[in-house]
Order: sequence, then structure tokens, then C-alpha cells
Amino acid sequence: MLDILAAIIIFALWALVPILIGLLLGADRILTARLQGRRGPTVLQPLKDMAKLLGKRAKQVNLSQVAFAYLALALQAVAVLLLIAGGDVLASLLISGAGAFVMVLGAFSVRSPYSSLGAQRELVQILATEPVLLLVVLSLGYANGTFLASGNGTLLIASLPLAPVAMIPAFLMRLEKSPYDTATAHSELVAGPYTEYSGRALGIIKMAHWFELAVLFGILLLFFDLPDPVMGVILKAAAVATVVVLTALIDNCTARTTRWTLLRSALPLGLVLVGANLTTLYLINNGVI
Amino acid sequence: MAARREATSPWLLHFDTGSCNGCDIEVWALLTPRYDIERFGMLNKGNPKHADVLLVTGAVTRKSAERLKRLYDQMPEPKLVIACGDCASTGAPYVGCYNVLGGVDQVIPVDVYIPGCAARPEVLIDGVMVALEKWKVKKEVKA
Repeated sequence: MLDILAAIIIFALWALVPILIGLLLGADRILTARLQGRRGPTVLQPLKDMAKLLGKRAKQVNLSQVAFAYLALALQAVAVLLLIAGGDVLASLLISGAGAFVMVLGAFSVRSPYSSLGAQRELVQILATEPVLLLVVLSLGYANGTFLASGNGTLLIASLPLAPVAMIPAFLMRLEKSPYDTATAHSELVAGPYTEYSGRALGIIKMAHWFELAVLFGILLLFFDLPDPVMGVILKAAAVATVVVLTALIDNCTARTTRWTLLRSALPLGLVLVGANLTTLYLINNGVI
Repeated sequence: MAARREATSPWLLHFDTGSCNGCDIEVWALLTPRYDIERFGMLNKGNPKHADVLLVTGAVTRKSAERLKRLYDQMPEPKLVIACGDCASTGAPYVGCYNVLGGVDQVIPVDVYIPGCAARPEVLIDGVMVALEKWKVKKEVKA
């Protein structure tokens, strides 16, 4: 009976994920607007955008393009479900990574130069973020003794304070902020891999992106687990709010750089931060320091 | 209910078919903090495949007519077209010129005509809102 109840809660949470991410993106848009001296949309705007897109007719270039969009959504949704169900974090990250590659394949499946350019940018982003995220999850597994999300229960940020910091460039990229040039700006160039999607197919690929964001936030929140569930939820909400404010601030305070600058800066920074943290933790655990 | 929800998220595509840039400047003014069209859920998109509303400025020249038609065809249904300003609405004062076809409705169907030379940003926002009423009708017809 308890198992059925737990399963219902897990699936309810899973179904709520797109709504929560939509609200989070709405808050992000309001914050960005206020930083720019504008009023901005309502917090529900991303959800309204999604509802509109899913209700529109899609103009597909070819069938494989749409198939890749649905496959990307399925992979990202499974990755999120695995994380919510307390499954393997490493498997969740790898499935989400596969989803990101499928999205790139979808962009490459059409003959549009803009879509191809967007796909290449996406690949550079994957190259810059995935090794760092992998090391973050490995360090999480080392500190925790298990890769299971359910095996957590301690405040990991105390022993791995630099790992969430190393994830910030990944958040900047996945939240499509402008320092790294696949931003949601005003031309075909920067719309990236979404260029050739339209209507419902665009909604599906955007939904896949929302689930991808959920995986990223899910991994971050594992660092803020507390034995007390109420305090844990408050701490996690504070962590998510901090990331949203920080990324909006960085977005509005920095000039736009190229994707190669991103690769040169974010990848070494992330690897050095997590590597240093992991080494220190190893030395402490072995009584060297 | 669904139609009302969808009508609050218009994504705009702006195309200049031969304008003097007066209306274009007013269209771009919509994005500034003073007019901030994002508060109505509107976003400027540079891609016809993502757009719901086509904002056209300027009288349609013979050279731009084919491009205008192609952009219109690339937009997914349901879609709206707004002729911004006097030139886009009627072709005036360039009607009869050897290189001008006339207003936007000579090439593609227009849903809303916005008067003015140049069209004021407030009227442009109002025009999009009026167009969204048509959106609801189009959705119902489709359903």
C-alpha cells in the first residue's frame, strides 16, 4: 500500500515538473525585465507560450526531425523520472546527455544552415558542460558512497562546496542566457537548434529542454538535502532562487562572448573547481589533512 | 478558455517591404522599456516558423513581394497579418510607381490595418490586440 502511495507521489511530482519549470522560467523573465527597467510578463507566461505552441499546427521539414523531438522529450522525461524516484544520478545524467545529443541530431536532420549552426553551437555547449557535470556527479557519488538519489540525506554542500559553483556556467547555458551566444535573442542565428521547428513540434522540443533543465536543477538540489524535510525544502527553494537571481545578474552584467570563449573558460574552470574539491575531500577522508 | 489563453502569447515577426524606416523605428520602440510589449506576452521573433503575427511595414515593392509571400507561407497556422502604417495598408503615397505593387493585401491576406505615418507604438499594440480577437475566431473555425 505504501509502495503504491509512493509511486503516486513520484508520478504526481513528475507530472508537475513542466509546470514548476515553467513558473521558474516565468520568474526568470520577470527578474530579467525588472533588471532592464521593464515590467515584464506574468509569471505564467512560459506556460501560456507552451499551451499556444502545443495547440498550433506544425510545419515539419521531414519526419525524422519530429521523431527526434519526441525522442529527446522521452529521454529527458525518463531522466527526470529516474531522479525523482531516487534512482541512479549518474544514469539520469547520461540519459539526459543522450537527450541533448538527440536534440542536436534533430537540428542536423534538416538542410538549413542556421539549424546546422545552432546544432554545432549546441555541441560546443555539451562539450563544455557535460564533463564538468559528470565530475560533479562522480564527486557526489564519492562523498555519498552511492549514486542513488535516494541514498542521500546529508548536507553535501558542506563537504563539496565548490561543485555547485562549477555548475553555474552550465545553468547559464541551459537557461539560454546571453553571455554564451545561444541566447534567446532576436535573430535566426541565436534561435539555434530550434530554428526549423514550428508549432507543436517546437512545443515538444521546448518541453524536452524544460525536462533537461529539471535534471540540472535536480542534481543541484541533491547537494542541499537535509534530514529534516521541511528545512530541506526551504533550503532547496533558496538554492533554486539563488541560481535564478545569479544567472540573471550575470546575464545582465556581462558582454556577450563567443562559444569558443565559453569552451575555454567554463570547461577548465569547472574541472579545476570540482577536481580541487574532490582532492581536498579525499585527503581529509584519508587523514592527510 | 483555450483560445483566450493562446491569445495572450503572440510572437511577432517584423518584415519591411520597402518602408522609409519610420514605422520600423516605431516597431522597434515596442521592445524598449517605455512600451515593453513583453508585458502582454508578445515577443519579437526573427523566425517565421516561430511567429504567430506578421507585422509588415512599407508599401510592397515588386522585389519584396515574393519574399513577403514566402515568409507568410512559412508561418504555421493559425497566423495573423498586420499592415503597419499607411504605406503597408494602401501603398499610398507610392501607388502607381513603376516598382510598387501597392498595399500588403495585394500579396497576402491582411487581418488588421493600422493607420498612421508613422504608426504610433500605442496604436501598434492596440492593433495586435484587435488582431488577437480574430485569432480566437480562426481557432474556432479550425475547431
